Amino acid sequence: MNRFNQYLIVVIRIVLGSIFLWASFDKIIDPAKFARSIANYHVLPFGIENTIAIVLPWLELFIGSGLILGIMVDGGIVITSSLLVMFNLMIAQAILRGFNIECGCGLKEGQLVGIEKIFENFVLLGGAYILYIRDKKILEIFPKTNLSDN
Amino acid sequence: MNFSSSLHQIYFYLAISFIISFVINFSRTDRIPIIAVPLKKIEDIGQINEKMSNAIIREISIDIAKDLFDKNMLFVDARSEEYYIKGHIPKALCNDNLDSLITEMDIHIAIDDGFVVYCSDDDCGSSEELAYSLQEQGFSNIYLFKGGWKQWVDNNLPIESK
Repeated sequence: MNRFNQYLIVVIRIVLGSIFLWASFDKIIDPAKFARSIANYHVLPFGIENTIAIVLPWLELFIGSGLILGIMVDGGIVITSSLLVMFNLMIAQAILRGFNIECGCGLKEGQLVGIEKIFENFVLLGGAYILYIRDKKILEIFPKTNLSDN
Repeated sequence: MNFSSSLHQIYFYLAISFIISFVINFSRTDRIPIIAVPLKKIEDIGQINEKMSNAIIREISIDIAKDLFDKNMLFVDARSEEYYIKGHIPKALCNDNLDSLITEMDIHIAIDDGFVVYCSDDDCGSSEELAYSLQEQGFSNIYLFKGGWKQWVDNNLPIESK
């Protein structure tokens, strides 16, 4: 872990947080559209897509903000990683079932599901893993970490 | 609560997200129901309205779609033009650009006239997406043919290619 520059960790944290923060905006603005995007994956029992469309964007907003500001980073990383794995499973099953549907990821308007999206998520998962195994908590404001302890 | 524990942090993130999201959703004018309500299905051709003042999207079966085709109702193809060129329901409109599509539709129908939207099959989702986009633009009488192009072709109904 020492070979990773301490500040690279902060950069990864901010980049990952910004991506989640950015992805949440469109979904918060138009939850109905996000619900339809979720429904197009045909994996959830009918009706649940609305609950997810209401809650998930706010979860992304809070963990994105948390990662950027350095608030409850450990919990944020676990949720981030879980979401990325879940997104990849959703996209993979859609590809395998031959669905030519919009990703609904919130990053790029009209982006379709595809291998490149899975690859993108794996890159982000790699970033999350680096954060998870970090041994120094730089610029994390809560829970308060005493830098001299590191 | 001990916030130095990852698990407690996760609980906190989940709790705050649930609470804030439900409160915000409840307070907004364009709120969505917590559990999705399925689109109303039309079982009989008699339920078809020529004009509709209240905006509504309703689902139709292949039989109703065929009847509406025979009655010369406008069909809108929600697939990309690439697929439309290869084959589509005769006289259906298609345009990847929403504004251009609306301009074309305005030539054929009034804002409260009925029309059918379809895409490739039950799994595509783009017909529903287009139906809601057109509804936002003021079209009020929209029929969604979920079986789409695949079901139309499987039933040996007329097709044309451009």
